Amino acid sequence: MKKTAIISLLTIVLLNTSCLRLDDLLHNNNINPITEYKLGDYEGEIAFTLPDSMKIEQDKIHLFQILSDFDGVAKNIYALYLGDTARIAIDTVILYCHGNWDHLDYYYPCIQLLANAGGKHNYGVMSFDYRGYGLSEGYPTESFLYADTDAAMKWLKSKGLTNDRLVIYGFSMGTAPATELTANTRSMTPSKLILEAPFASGETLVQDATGLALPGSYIIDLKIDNAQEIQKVTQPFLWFHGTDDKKIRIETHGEVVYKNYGGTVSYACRVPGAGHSDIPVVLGYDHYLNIIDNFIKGNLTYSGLITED
Amino acid sequence: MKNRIIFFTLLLFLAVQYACGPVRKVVPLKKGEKEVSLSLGGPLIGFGGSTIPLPLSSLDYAQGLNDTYTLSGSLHTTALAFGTVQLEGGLLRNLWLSENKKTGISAAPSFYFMIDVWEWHPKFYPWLDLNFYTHYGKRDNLIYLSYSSMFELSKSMAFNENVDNRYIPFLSLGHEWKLKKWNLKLEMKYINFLRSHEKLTVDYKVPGKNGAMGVYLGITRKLY
Repeated sequence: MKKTAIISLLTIVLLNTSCLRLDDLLHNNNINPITEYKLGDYEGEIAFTLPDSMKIEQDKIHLFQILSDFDGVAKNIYALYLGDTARIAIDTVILYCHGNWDHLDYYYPCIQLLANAGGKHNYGVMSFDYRGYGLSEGYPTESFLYADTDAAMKWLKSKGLTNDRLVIYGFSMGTAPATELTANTRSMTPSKLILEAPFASGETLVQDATGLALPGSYIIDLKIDNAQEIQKVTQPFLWFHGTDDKKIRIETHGEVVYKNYGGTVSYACRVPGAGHSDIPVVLGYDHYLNIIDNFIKGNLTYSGLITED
Repeated sequence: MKNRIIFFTLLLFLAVQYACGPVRKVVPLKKGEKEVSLSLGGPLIGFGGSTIPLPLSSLDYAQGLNDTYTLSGSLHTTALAFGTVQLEGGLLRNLWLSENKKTGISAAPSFYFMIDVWEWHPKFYPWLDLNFYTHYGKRDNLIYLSYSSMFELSKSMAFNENVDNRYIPFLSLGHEWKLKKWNLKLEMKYINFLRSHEKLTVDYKVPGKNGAMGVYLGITRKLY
């Protein structure tokens, strides 16, 4: 009896002191590690394949490092700019915050595609690898996601970009920094917000997995709360979500984010049959690009979307 | 895809940990009898091309208050490892017993109480087990079938979304091998079988579109 009690007590103490959390396992950075960025020449897994006509010429591809500093923890992260950097002072720029998968090589087709909105190089497009993704130094955390996105904004600002010409686009995990930095201004205030497959909050993620009304704190520390932060967003807002998204459900995540938007100009593009990562493909590249272009120019009409809202 | 698999596998792992108890105690003890058990097992998932059960764990204690009622309690050690104290308590009694006392129907009103050490959010889930069991063979081995009903008391989920899953049923089929001082138990659970898992984030390995299937092992030390 004594032995059993002692072993039980030791087990409890050992397990209690470990205090596991799922947060550290959340990031899917470098699933396919790289030693150099290959972008258009990358032969590994990519988001989708673009036709040759949409590919970007070499002289418009700029890969470089920027310094991201958060509370004195400064790291070099890799950034990518598609377009003419000398025209940042006059061009409209889309800042693309990628999702939670691999690195820039995987998302390069998404970034390239955006550089075709309204015609090739109509907009400059910038993206970057968060800390720990691709060849960026450090490791990812929620705070670092925001800091790294702000570092990209600082760089754009240093090149002459003004708030009225900055459009921020977040995909999946990238919807967190996109929403956060639109709601809570740091170096720049984006003039428009585009979210593709946004998740509502860490707690919703937990409840979607369990089917129970469990507090998120039972499993994760993640404080990402797009559904709350978007209440502060008043800039025009465009939302894409696949109706068949099984990772971030449209009903429990996307619809809640859309419903909570704090402004007056919003467009919902619910894409029938699309899953989590294939909205541009299911929608058709041209239709997708038209929606983006018209939204940025302020010409988007509800009839230009899949469903009216 | 390793990290995504780990993350969602652990979500599934924890989901079932929070939603599903250890192996059932289905036969009441006699007055003064005590048992300590360790339960291990979990939902079936695909891993490395095979389907395997994940190891959940709990420490369980049962004591016969008298010849009718048995008090049981569990501490869910996996939840504890994540900083959530999850306790389970129940009161088991026979509703019917055959003349030879080999076969019976028992019931156990039970509860879960959980609270995390991070933000101190409490949760309470009442539930009820109804068990049919029968002993057989020289060793008096046990086979049983349980129907468990768990109830979500919260009216809303995050962002005031309505809870559409207030009733969470489980079916358990178990077998217990009786040894001199030890019992070994194997139990299959069909968890939340009224709810489609197609819209859940995790990939449940179960025939059909509903619920999740779990396999659990229990080892019991008889302290009498």
